[in-house]
Amino acid sequence: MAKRYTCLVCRNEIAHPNAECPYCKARSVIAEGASPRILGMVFGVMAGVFAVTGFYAKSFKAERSTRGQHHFGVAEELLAEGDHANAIKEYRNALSYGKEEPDYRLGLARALFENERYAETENHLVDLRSQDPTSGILNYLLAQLAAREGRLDEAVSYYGTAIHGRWDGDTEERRLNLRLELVDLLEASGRDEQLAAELIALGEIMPDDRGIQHKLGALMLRTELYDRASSLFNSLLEANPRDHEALLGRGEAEFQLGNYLTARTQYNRAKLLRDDDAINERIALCNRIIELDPTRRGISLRERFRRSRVLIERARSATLMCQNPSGDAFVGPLAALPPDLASSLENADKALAGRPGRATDEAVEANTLIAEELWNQAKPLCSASSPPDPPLVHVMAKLSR
Amino acid sequence: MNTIREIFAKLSTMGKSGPVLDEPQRFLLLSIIIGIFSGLVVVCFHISIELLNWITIHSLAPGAKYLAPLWPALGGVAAYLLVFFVVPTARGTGVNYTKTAVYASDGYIPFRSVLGKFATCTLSIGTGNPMGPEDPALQMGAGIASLLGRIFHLTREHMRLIAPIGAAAGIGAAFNTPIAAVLFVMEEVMSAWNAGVLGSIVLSSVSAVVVSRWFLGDEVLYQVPEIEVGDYSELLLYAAIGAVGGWLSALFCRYSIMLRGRILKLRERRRLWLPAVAGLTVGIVGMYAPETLGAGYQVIDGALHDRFAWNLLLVLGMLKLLSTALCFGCGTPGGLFAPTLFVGAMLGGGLAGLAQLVWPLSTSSVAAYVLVGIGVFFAGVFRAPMTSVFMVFELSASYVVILPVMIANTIAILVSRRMEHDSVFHMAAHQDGLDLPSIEDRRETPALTVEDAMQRTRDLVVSDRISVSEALEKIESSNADALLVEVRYGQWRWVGKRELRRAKDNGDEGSSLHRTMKMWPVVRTYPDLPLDQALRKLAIYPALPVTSRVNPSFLLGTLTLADVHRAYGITRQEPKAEASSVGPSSA
Repeated sequence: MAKRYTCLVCRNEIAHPNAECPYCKARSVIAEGASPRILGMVFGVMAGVFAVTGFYAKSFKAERSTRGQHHFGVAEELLAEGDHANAIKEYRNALSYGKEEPDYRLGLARALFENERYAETENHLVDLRSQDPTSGILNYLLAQLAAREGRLDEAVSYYGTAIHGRWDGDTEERRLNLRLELVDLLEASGRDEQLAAELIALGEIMPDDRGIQHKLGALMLRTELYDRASSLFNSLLEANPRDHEALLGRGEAEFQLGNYLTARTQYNRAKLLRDDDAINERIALCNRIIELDPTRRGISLRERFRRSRVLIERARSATLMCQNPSGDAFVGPLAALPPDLASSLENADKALAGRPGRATDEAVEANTLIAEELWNQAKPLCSASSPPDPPLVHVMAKLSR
Repeated sequence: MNTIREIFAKLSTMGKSGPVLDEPQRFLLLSIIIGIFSGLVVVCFHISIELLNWITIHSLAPGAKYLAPLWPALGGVAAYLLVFFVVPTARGTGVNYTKTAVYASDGYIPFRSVLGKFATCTLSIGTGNPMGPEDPALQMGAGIASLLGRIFHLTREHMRLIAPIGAAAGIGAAFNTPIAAVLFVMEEVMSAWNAGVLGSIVLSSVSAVVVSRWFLGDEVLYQVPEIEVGDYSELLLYAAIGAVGGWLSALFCRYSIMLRGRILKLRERRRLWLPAVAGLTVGIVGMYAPETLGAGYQVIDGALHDRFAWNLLLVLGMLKLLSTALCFGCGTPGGLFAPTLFVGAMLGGGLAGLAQLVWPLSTSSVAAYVLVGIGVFFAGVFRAPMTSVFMVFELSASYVVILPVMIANTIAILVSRRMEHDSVFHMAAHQDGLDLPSIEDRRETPALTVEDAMQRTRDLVVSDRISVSEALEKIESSNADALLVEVRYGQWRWVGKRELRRAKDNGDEGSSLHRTMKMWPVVRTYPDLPLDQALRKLAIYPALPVTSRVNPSFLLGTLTLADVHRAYGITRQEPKAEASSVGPSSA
């Protein structure tokens, strides 16, 4: 290859390295162009340095990893022993050897959480979560952190991601436990709608633990999932018919569903196991409702007719009671009442006036309708906490269903 | 793209015919090679520091912690002895050394200084001295570049540019921030924005970072957590951090340089034991606050993650500040980059905690304040505003914090500059007897433009319809050598006094210029052009018309050599008779 020589003063090309530059007459400043030999040499040295650096870096990384693992092992032991402060120190040491190692950072976050250093914990967890958003453990820890700091929306969201997230090992049991924790959180925070949704989901994967089943049944009652509560308590009773709590739970569920006979049966069974005033009260209420209910099967038409008239009468009394805030019966003229209510009362009075007619299905239905109409007008006026006639309220609720 | 294709084409025909690569192509290829070599060396440097660190202050051996306070002293004195007896070229800051190479020694940096920096800084930083590896890495990169430039026989012009290319590679690989490396070299090493060399600097920086990541992994220096910046009222807090950071950085520069000056006045032999004293002090401080030992990246990471209470952050920042100033003053090898970031981070985090006590409405995350603190202190010490902003951006990989960083950094620079005119490197250079340029000096010496020199009159302008005698009268009254004539829309010509006189002598005094005179074309100039560009044109033309850029026939003024002289303050003087007495004796 032809070599190239350049004058460094005027930068013109010249023929020989030691000749005088024909353009500017300079002699001592002549450069030789890059020859393949020089390039080859440079690349050769580069390859050598590359190899040496590679070996050096590999040894370094191996040593770094060993040291990191050593500190991590010590930290895990300390954390298991409950020595959080020293565990944090060791996790930090481990992390200084492997900043990108998620296990080290996660361990540090766990130890910090245990040591109640929540701000730092959260920073590490959020960091880790940005790299692995579906990790179950990260979302779970963040959920716990958020719950502890009262950020319930965040906590619920993190729990949700943790439940559906990625876990190692016994996945199903973890998910179940997480759902139970979430249920506890929702219960404590009074978020009944979310609680109900979670209970429905839990119903699909009901745990075997009877204690948990009792608790969930109670929560179902609280969130008005009466059907599910009834079947849950029923399954508990199938396994153990003498389960007092399950009897009471099923009784309550059936009561709320309007199955007062079944409810009474459950309460009576419970009473046989353990008698107390609350159960007696509930049984008495059931009896009064059953005696008032005109739709009850197995009673004669005559009895139904009688009950329908009683229903009108009690609805009328209750309406007049509710109309007067002092609780005394209303004695004023009907014209003073709202027109719809006055008209319903007038209908009731007409139905009750004179001798009762013939007992027919139509008459029963007409009476029931009058009573319902009157009650619907009066209901908004009555106090929800202390209704004037509890059996009437339940019967009316059943009729409206 | 074409250039790259040409390079490959020439490489494929290498050795078959003609020269392999011409100078610009060689320069580009060389930039990549420099980046790779610098990256490799910096990787080794980084590993060596870490390994030494593990052997000394982070030893797992039982009882090793009792030896820990002695290591910085031993490392410091060993490094200083090496500098003193073996590699004196490894002395001083890498930035100034590289700048000296650029501006005073045609890019020449002895390779021995690379080896020296490697060894001495490994010894000092690896044993826990509170210095950073970035500045030495910068010098190592520049030294490698200089060696390769010599091997490739670059021209002197390119040799001057090669050192900054290596410097960018070195700092890029050490700090893992390619953009900040490019900007730092432009602002601090070259002290100018040179578009010609920018491509090469970027290439080398990127190659070095790629090599560094190849071997050390993609892990960033700090794991920056999710950043939240509060509402705009918090910008006041950031501004306050900027002001405090600027003030503190100026104090740091002043007193560390003052200490360095006093120590430099001691006899050289006496200075030998000072790094040991500094190291021992650092070691003792490190017993109680081990966070202050070494470069401290992990501690900054901790501050970003809200690991420390605000008062502890401030204490750590102060301790690091004092120990760094002591080591820098005593000549312990190492750079100021990492300690500056450390102090800034602690300051930002500490002030954030303090602010949250005073102003509970503050909602920004601590990480945001820590990042702002890093930028603020860096900007205050090095006076590199662009680098300080982009560095934070590269570290956080988020634009969220950019607005507070820009505000705080600007305030920090203003405050710091008001207290101390120069950056720490510039002050150190002055102390060493070097007069190196800085970007601030250049900014303070504004370049003159044509507008500053031009005459806003039409004294030298005539129409080509006037007679020769009228033109002659005008040129003689204005005492000029030539007149400018607009012959057509936007086309200007000039006519000289001698030619006019000749025409008069020939009896053409009554005829108009366009019929009689031969007039030469003249180029236009514009008021915003630098005066030196116009000066080059004045070497060819006696006068220049200064016109509007949008309307070339709209004359704004005229420019002559005399106007340029006047603008530069040069008055024409007649040679004096006694001038011969000045200079070599005629006898």
